[in-house]
Amino acid sequence: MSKRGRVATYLSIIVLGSIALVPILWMISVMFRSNPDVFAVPLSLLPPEFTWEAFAKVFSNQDLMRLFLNSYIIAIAVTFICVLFAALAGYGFSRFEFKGKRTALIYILLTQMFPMVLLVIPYFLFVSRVGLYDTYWALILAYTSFALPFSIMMLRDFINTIPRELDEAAKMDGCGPFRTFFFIILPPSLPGLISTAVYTFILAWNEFLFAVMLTNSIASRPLTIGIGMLIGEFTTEWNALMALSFMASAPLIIVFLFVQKFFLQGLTAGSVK
Amino acid sequence: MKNNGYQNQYFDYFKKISFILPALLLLLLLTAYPLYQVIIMSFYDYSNTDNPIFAGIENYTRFFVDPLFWKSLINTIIFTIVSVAFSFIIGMTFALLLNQQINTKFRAVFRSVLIFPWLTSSTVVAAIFMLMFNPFGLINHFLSMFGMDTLAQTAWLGNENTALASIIIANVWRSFPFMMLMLLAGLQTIPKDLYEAAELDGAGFFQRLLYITIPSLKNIILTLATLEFIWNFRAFDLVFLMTGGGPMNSTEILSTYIYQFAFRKLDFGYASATALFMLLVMVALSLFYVRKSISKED
Repeated sequence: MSKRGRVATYLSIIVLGSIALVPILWMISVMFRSNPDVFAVPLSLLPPEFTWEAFAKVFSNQDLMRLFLNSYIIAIAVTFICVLFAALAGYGFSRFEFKGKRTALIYILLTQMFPMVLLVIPYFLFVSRVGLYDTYWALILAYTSFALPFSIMMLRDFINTIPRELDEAAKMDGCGPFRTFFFIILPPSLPGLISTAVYTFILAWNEFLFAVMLTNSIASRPLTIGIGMLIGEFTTEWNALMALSFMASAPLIIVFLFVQKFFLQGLTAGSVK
Repeated sequence: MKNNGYQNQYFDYFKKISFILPALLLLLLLTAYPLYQVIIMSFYDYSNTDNPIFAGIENYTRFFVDPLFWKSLINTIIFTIVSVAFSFIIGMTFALLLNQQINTKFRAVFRSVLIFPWLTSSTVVAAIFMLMFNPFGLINHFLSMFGMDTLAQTAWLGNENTALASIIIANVWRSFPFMMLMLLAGLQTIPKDLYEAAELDGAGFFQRLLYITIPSLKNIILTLATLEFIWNFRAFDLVFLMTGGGPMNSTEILSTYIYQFAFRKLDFGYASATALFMLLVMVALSLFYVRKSISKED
């Protein structure tokens, strides 16, 4: 590439990238303002007066802190269940031929197309009937059903990239399918497992519709509802809302930065062929 | 073989499916049973909520004559197509830029921070964009800075003509990073000598894009398009949070329409029938994805 071309590339990335990040920069700017300064004129990216006021407001609210805890519990439980089941299923689909396999795969793909709003009606009736309404389990089950199909496909594609010779060698050494799975397949699948976990965690952490419909009290509602409620109150407290938004996004961003290398490997193992 | 062959055969089958069985049973319980219930409900009239009566196909004929249903369908299609198109264009632009020969640290930093929008929840996206689209918000500030004072009076989410477009912008912002990630991964698999050869033949940037890049990425583009299509067609959160379908139903999409009927009017029968119609449309349009994912078998 010519020198001119290179400069143009760097410039475009910086300019376009900054534009794309304006909403995040603005969130950060507003969360350090006092509420009257939110719409301060003249416009500046730096807060006219830097203050932690918004964070004090969020941290002093016990209810919001409880919502954080709920979100962690729900998202971690979903991630654990999903990765376990999807790893088993991914291995099964990758390595074995059996009657009904095609049908099972087609069904799993079809479940990805279910409109959420279609499922929420029977889920609502179901959890009310079995006494799970307004519990962690209502959401854990619901989110598992959304995350599982994509997780299975992702892990199947990933395990497909692990050479079958490894299985053969294990078989020679007298390993059954279960031992092969645990000792031969799982270790090199780590990137796939991590990307499945990240995908599932993000999905469970961010979901909104089912959280609204299936929970009702501070004891079980996740954080997304807390933000949704602040929006609903027709927001006079933008600075607190932005502080809370930042706190809701930060855990995902930190986790993602740590595992992103694995995540990219896992996510693209199957689809980039 | 010491064992009875029959028994062995069944044992073998069980051993093979035992890996997929837990996931499959859970999925059947969590999706097939609800689906079955929705199908049943769609044939009942819930005007008396405690005692629904069988209504035949009445629920299915009702939505065809409801103008609001058609409006929601059209809005859903606009929302989906425009969102997918723009997040593809923006995602592809960033992917192409980041795939140039640039400093690897620089690339890694930008690739990481550009993923942030994808990691934010729909409630966070809604909150940020409601703040920016506020009549006194950032967007109007910018517009008045450039002298567009009348335009800078707009209440973007409160105006029939701009509300849907505003939501689409928020939606595109949240979905372009995923496109960028996948396309970038795809671009890195294209052999460099293809481009070198094309350059020797005097192919310009757009020719290379059209004749090398896009054909090489055909599969991944189609998969992405289908996935994004599914995700956007059934989207709910942003519209629900940012406008609730208003003003004057100008942002009503199928999911919010169904939501209104199910949970505001408690008309479960009609809501179920409409949701099933929506499912059929999605399945019909994503057959390609299903076929491709299955054929990876071979």
